[in-house]
Amino acid sequence: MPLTKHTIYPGRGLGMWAFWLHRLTGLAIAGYLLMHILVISTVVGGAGSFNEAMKFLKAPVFILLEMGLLAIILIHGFNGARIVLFDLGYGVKKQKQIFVTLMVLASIPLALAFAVALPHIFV
Amino acid sequence: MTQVTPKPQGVWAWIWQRITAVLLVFFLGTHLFVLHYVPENMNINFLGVAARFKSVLYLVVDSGLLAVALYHALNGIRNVLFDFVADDGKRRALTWLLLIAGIAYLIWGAYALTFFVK
Repeated sequence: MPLTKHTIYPGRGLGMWAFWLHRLTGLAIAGYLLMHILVISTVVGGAGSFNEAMKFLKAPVFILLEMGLLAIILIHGFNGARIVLFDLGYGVKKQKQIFVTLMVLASIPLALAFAVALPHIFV
Repeated sequence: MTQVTPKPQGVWAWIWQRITAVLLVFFLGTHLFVLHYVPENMNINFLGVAARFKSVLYLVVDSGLLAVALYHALNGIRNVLFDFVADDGKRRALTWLLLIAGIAYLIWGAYALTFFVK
């Protein structure tokens, strides 16, 4: 099948924002993952250096940043379910409603994590 | 907007991106639940992680997560880059670069994990 020239994501509206949101959150998580592996690998320097790194990262500002990270992961994960659904041939025509529904659902685990983290943010 | 002429890419990269996506829902879901929804686990330290790693389940979840997350992340970066790079040679170079980076991270990450098991 001959392939023709195309423009990167030619759509508009909510679907376009979902597309860009998926890419930006994906790149952010990928960046975090590479950093996360390096931070955890401080254990190579011994239990002491690992504990020191974890103690440093227990500061409220990092817990707050972690909540931002969790929000980004939840957006990417829930929207990812939407993409897999479309690939299987379901729901494309209701893509906007599905996006809104999934984002509302994603806010539930985020709120739960906030409740657990609250004592660590306001110490 | 950037114009690119897409060439047929390996369908397996696309299929694996979906397979790892579904695996990540379970692996990363477990990982996040254990570390962020169980209040006792919020205080992360060496002994706590080492104790968790005595269970085969965590060992499987965390080392599986390392491999699956790295593939999904680096192939995702590749997907984004390929929308801006049409040249075949450059695409091949990028693929190799990401592949080597992925293998290096995988080896380093797996090596680091063994320190919790010792």
